Amino acid sequence: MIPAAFDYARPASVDDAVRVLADAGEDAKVLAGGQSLMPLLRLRLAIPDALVDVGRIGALREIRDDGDALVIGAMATHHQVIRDPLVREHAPLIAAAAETVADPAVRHRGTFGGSLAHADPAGDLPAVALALDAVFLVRSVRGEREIPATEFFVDWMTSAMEPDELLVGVRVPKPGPGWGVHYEKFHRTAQAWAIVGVACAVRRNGGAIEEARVALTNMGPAPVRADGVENAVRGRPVSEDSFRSAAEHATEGTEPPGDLHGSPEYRSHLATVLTSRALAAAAV
Amino acid sequence: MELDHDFTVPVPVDQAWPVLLDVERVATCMPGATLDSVEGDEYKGRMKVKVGAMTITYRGAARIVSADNSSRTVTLEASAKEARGSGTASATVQARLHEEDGTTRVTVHTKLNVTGRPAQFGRNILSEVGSKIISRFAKALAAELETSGEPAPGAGAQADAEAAATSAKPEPAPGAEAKPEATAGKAEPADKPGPATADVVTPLPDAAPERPAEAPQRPARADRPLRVAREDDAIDLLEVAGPSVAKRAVPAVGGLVGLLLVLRFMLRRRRRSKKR
Amino acid sequence: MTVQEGGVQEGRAGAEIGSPRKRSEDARLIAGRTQWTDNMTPQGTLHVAFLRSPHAHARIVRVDASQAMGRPGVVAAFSGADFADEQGSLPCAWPVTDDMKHPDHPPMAVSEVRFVGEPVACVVARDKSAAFDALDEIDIDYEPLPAVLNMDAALAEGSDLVHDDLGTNKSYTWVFENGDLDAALRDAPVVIEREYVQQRLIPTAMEPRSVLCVPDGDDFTLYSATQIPHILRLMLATVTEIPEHRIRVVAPDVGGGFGSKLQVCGEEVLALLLARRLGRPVKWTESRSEGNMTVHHGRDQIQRLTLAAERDGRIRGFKADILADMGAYLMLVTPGIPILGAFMYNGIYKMDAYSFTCTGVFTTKTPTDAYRGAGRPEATYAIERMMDELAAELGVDPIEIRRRNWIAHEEFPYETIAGLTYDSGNYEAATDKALELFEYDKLRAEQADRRDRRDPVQLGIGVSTFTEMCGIAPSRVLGSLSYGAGGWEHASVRILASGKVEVVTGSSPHGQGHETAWAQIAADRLGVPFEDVRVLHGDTAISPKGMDTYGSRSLAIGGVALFSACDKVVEKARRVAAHLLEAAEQDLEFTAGRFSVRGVQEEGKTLQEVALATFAAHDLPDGVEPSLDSDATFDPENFSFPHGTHLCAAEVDTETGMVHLRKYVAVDDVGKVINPLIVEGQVHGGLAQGIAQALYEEAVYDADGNLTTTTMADYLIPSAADLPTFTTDRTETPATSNPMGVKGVGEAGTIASTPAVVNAIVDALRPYGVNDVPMPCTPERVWRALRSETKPDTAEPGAGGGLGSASASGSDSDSAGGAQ
Repeated sequence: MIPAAFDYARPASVDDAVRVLADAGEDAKVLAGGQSLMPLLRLRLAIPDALVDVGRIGALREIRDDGDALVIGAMATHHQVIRDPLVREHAPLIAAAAETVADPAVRHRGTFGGSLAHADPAGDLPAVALALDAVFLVRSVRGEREIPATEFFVDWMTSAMEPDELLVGVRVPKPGPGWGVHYEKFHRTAQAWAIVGVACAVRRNGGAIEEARVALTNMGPAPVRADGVENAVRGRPVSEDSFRSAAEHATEGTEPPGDLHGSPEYRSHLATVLTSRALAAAAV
Repeated sequence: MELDHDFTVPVPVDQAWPVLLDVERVATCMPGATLDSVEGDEYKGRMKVKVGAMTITYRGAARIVSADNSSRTVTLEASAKEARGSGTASATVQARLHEEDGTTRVTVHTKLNVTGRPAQFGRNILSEVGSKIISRFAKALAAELETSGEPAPGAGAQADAEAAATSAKPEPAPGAEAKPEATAGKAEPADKPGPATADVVTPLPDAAPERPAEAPQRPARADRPLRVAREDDAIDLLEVAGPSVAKRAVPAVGGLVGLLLVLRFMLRRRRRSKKR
Repeated sequence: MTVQEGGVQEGRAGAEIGSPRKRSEDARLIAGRTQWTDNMTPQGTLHVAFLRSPHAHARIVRVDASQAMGRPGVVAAFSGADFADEQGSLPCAWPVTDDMKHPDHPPMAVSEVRFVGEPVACVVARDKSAAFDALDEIDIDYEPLPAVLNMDAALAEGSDLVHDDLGTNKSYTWVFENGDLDAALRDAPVVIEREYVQQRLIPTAMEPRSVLCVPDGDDFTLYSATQIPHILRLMLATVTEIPEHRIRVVAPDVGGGFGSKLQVCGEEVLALLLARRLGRPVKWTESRSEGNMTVHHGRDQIQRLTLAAERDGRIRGFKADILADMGAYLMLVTPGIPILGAFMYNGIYKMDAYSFTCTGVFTTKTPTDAYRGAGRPEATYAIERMMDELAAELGVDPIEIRRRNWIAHEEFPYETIAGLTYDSGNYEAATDKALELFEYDKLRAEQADRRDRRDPVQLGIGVSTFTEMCGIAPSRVLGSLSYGAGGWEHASVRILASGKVEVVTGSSPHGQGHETAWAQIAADRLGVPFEDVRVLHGDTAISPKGMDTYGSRSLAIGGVALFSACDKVVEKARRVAAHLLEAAEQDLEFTAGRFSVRGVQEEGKTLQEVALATFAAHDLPDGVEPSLDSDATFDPENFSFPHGTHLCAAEVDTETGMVHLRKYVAVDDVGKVINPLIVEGQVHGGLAQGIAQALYEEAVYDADGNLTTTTMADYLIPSAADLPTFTTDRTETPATSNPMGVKGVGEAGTIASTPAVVNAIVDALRPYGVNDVPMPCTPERVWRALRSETKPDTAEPGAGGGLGSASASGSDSDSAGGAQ
C-alpha cells in the first residue's frame, strides 16, 4: 500500500530537528530507521501530517563513554550497537537483545532509539532498558530533560515523550564487574516479534545471587520490571531450584495481551518458564 | 463479537441513570470524541483514536433506541465509518443499572462489529487501543463526577478509576478459535431499586432522573460543533468535516458514543476476571 | 499422439540430461534485470486501485464515487454497477457434479459482498498514489448481513446463507466408493476414527499479482503475473465476449505462483474492460496485505476419517468424509481441488474398501482454489497421520506398519482401490535409503533415552511414505471428472538457418527453471550446445498453444512434448542428411548432433549443416519442405506417480511447547531427472512450504469474518533460519507413462513433509497421552495438548508410543487432542 501524503523535513542538526518538531504540531512523527513506522505508514494506520527524518544527524549515531555510564545515540543502528566494543563491555545485555531483533536487514536500518521511542511492548529493547535502569535523554525547544526508564514507557506504544520532543540518546549505567546477562526471546519464526521475552542480568557472589535485574517483554501494555523475581532470587544459592521458585513471581503485575500468537494464559506460563531459564543462563 | 461487562460508578442509581442517558455528557468523558451536531435523537460526531504512531478517525452517529426507566435499561445503537479508509464500526449496547450500597453497578451487553484495517491484524489493535481509551475515559468520568458533586467520594472515585484504568484490557479475541465469551454476570436481576442514599454528586445540569428519555427529546442543535473531550492528545478541533460527512452520518444509528461505551465497559470485565 | 521410443543415448549421450546445470535464467531474475509485469509502464498508462469490502457479508445500499472523481489526477471511478452489463461472471471450469450449485461471481460486486476484500469500486488515475488516495473519497453504504464462517453450521438447517438465491450453503457432494466398506468397518477388529483440520493457507508468491492491459484498436494485449496465459486468454474471451483472436496474453517473468496464479482474477477481467472503455493502458498491482485478503486461499478442509484394520495391521478399509470450504464463490477450479485428493487417500497402501465423500461448502471467506499440491497434500496428510495412529494403536513401529500394507515393488503396475493404476515405484528402496540416511535406529534409541530420563525436551520421529498423482493431464481422465478442458501440452522446435534452436513451449514457467531444463532436453535430443537453445514461452502470440503450468505437469507433459518435437526434427533432418550424404536414411546414425553413415564415421553432416542446407533449399530431396521445424502435442495415458519416504526428527520442549526440527531426510523417487539441481531446489522449497503448514501458516478469520492475517507479521512464513538442513536423496524408477521416464517434482516436498512433521510431534508426545496436535502446531497448541492430557506415568515408552490398547472398537473419540 501507499502512505498518505505528508510533509517531509530532513533537518541536519538536533537543534533544527526540535525546531521543526515544535512547528509541526502533534501530528508529526519522527522517522528514525523506519522499520516500524514505515509499515504503519504504508498500512495507513499512521497518517501523520509531517515526517521529520533524523537520519542525517550524524551526532545521534554516536556511542560514547560517559564515566560511570554509557551514552548510546538514538540513531545508532542495532547492527552498530551489537558490534560496539563499549556496548559489549558495559551493556552486553543490550547487545544480546539487539541481536535478536528481526532480521539482518532490519538490524542494519533499524535504530536503537527508534525502537525504544516506538515503545512497542513486543519490542525487545524496552524491557532491556527497564532492566538496566536506563535514562532517556530527550530534547525539545523547551530544553533537555531526562526520563528514567521506569517512567518512559507509559502505555501500549506510548512513551512519556511529548509530541515535540526528540529522543537524542539513552544513558545506561555501567553495572560494574561480575554481572552475567541473558535475553531469552521466545518467538515462532526468526524474524517474528517476541511472544514473551525476558531480559535478565545477574550478579553472583560465589555460589549465591547477589543481585538480579529482570524485565519482561510483551507481558503488558508496557515492559514490566519483575521486582518479585528480583527480590525472590536475591541471596539465594545459584541453583535450578532457586531460579524456578523465583520465577514463580514472574507474572506479578503483568497484564499479558492475547493475540494470534499466544493467549494471556499461555504468555503467563511462558513468562515463568522463560524467567527461570534466563536466570540460569545469566548466572552461568 | 459480543461482550459482557460490568462497571461501578460511585453514585446512586437515580443519579447515574440520567447521566447515562445524557449522550453529550458521556461523550465529554471520551478522549478524542467530538460531538458535531444533534439532529433529533441522533448525535453525530467524530472520534479520533490516537495511540503511539497510529491514528484512526471515525465519523458517525449514535442514538438511544430505548430507555426503560422501570428496569433501568438503556439501549444505544451506533455506527461509524473511518474518515480515511473503508472500515466501519458499529455497536448495539444494552446497559442496565443495579443499585449496590449507594453506588451503581452497570452491566452491559454489547454487540460490536469493527471492519477494515484495524480489524485485520493479529495483534488486535482495537483491543489495545480500546484499553487505552478506557483508561482515559474512566479517569475523566470519575473527575466529572467529582467536580460536579459536593462532598462526594471524589478521592475514592478517582482511585477506583485509576485502578480500573491500570487494569484495563479487554479480553483478546484470538481469531477464529475463540469467540469472546461472556464472562460477566448475566441476567442480573433488575431488582434492588436500592435506597438511593444519594448524598452525593452531580447536580446534573439538564437531565433529571424523572426524565430518562430527556436526551432523545432534546431539540436539534445543528449549529454546533462542540468540543467535548478533555484529553488534548486525541482530538482535532480544527478538523473540518468533509463534504460527505453529513451524508455519511445520515443512514441510521451511528458511531462513537456507542463505541465508547463498549470500550468503557471492557475494562470492568477485565477487572472482574482478575479478582478471581 | 505417438511418441517415438528411444533412450536419451541416441542424442549426445546424457551430456545435458541429468547434468546439475545452474539455471540460466537466474542471473536475470535475481538481479531484477527483467520484465516483471509491474516494471512495464507504456506511455500513457493509467493506474487502477480497488476499493474492497470491509464486510464479510453485506448488501451494497449505495455507492457514491462522485467525490473521488474530483480528486487531482483521477481519470475515472467506477462501481460494480457501472460494469454490470459487461463484466460477466468469473468462470469455474470444473463443475464436479451435475447438480453443483454455482453462483454468479461478478468481478466487481454489484449488489452484495461476500468476503472481506471483494472489489466494490475502483479508481483510475494518472499515478498510483492518486488512485489510492481517491479511494478514501468513495462513499459506500452497506447493510451488513450475517457472516457464515463455520462449515458445519453453514450446512445446518436454517443457517444464514452466503447466496440467498441458492437456498443452501452446499455447493455439491461428490462421492467415490469401491469395495465393501461396511463389511470392513463391521468385521475389522481395529477401527480408528479421527478428525483433522487442514487449515486455510495463503499462497505467498514472492511477486504479487499484477496486470497491465494495453489496447490497440480492437486488439488487447494483457500482461499478467499468471501461471496460465493460454487458459486466461480463452477465459477472458468467454467472460467479456471479446473474440479470442483479439486478445493476446503475455505472462512475462512471473515471480512464483504455487497455484495462486492458476486463476482468472476479477482484476484481470476489469483491467481488460477498463482498457477498452478508456482506450488507454491500465495497470494494477496488488499490495501484500491486499493480496493476502484476495488471492485465492488454499486447503481449508475438515477431514473425518475412519480406518479399519486387522490386528496384524493390515488395512481393511478407509473412509474419508470431507467438508471443503469453497469460500464465497467458485473460482477456476475451486470445486475440483478436494476431488483431486479423492484418489490419494489410500496412499501407497493396499486395502479392500474405500469410500470418499466430499461436500463443498460456501462461507463468507476468500474463495479457495489450487495451492501447491491441491487436494493431494490433504489426502496424504490424512492417510499418513492415520498410519501412525494405527501403529500406535497396535504398538507397532510406524515403518513396519507401512511395510505390511504398501504395494511391493514387484506388484507394479498396480490398480489401487481408488481406481488409479500406479505404473511404477519402489517404496522399499526409498524407505531403506531414508532409514539409513536418517540413522533411524540411533534416533529411536535417543528417543527412548529421553523418555526414560523424563527429559523436558522430548524427541519424536515422524514418517511419511507418500505418493502423489501428478503430471495433471490425461485428457480423457480429466473429462471423466467433468473438468472443463484437456491436459495435453504443446511444444515446437524451430531450427534457424545458423543452426541455433528456438524452443517454444506451452508450459508457462513462473520460477521453475524451464528455460534451463527445456534447453537441456533440446540440446541432448538435437546434439547442439546448450547455449544454442533459446526457450520461448508465456506469450500467446509466440506460443499459441498451451495448457500452462500447474499440478507438477510441466516436465511430464510439456517436457515430453518437447522431447517428441525434437525427435521429429531429427527425422526431418535425417531425410535431408541422407540426400546430402547420398545414403539411405536407414543407414544413417545420429550421434552428438551429427548424421553419419553407419560404419563410415568420417563422412557426415551436422544438424547445423543440414539446417543451412534446408534453409538454402537448393538441393532438397523431392517432396521435402524446406523446414526442419516440428511441433508435438503430448497427452499421456496416465498420471505419473512420484513417491518417496520422508523422515523427520522433532525436538519438542514440553515446558514451552516449542518444536525444533532436528533432522529431516527426504528420499524422493521422481523418475528420471533432467537437472538434479533444479530437482533439489524444488524439494527444498516444497519441504519449506509443507513444514510451514505443519508449524507456522494459518489464515485466521475472527468471529465477524475479518481476516486477521493480512500481513507477514501475523501470517508466518518460515525462512531458512527456521528450518533444519535438509538431507535429500533420490531413488529412481522410471515412469512408464512417458518416453523420458520422468514423473514431476513440483509438489512432492510439500505433499510429503506436512504429515512427517506432525507425526514427529505427536510421536514425541504420545507418552503424555497426546494423539494429535492441530495444525499449525504452534507452541501454545502443543502446550495445550500436553496440558490437557498429561499422564506420563501411565505411558509406556516405545517405538510408536505403544499404548497398545487395541480394543474391539478401537475407536478413539479424543481426536481433537485437547488442543484448540
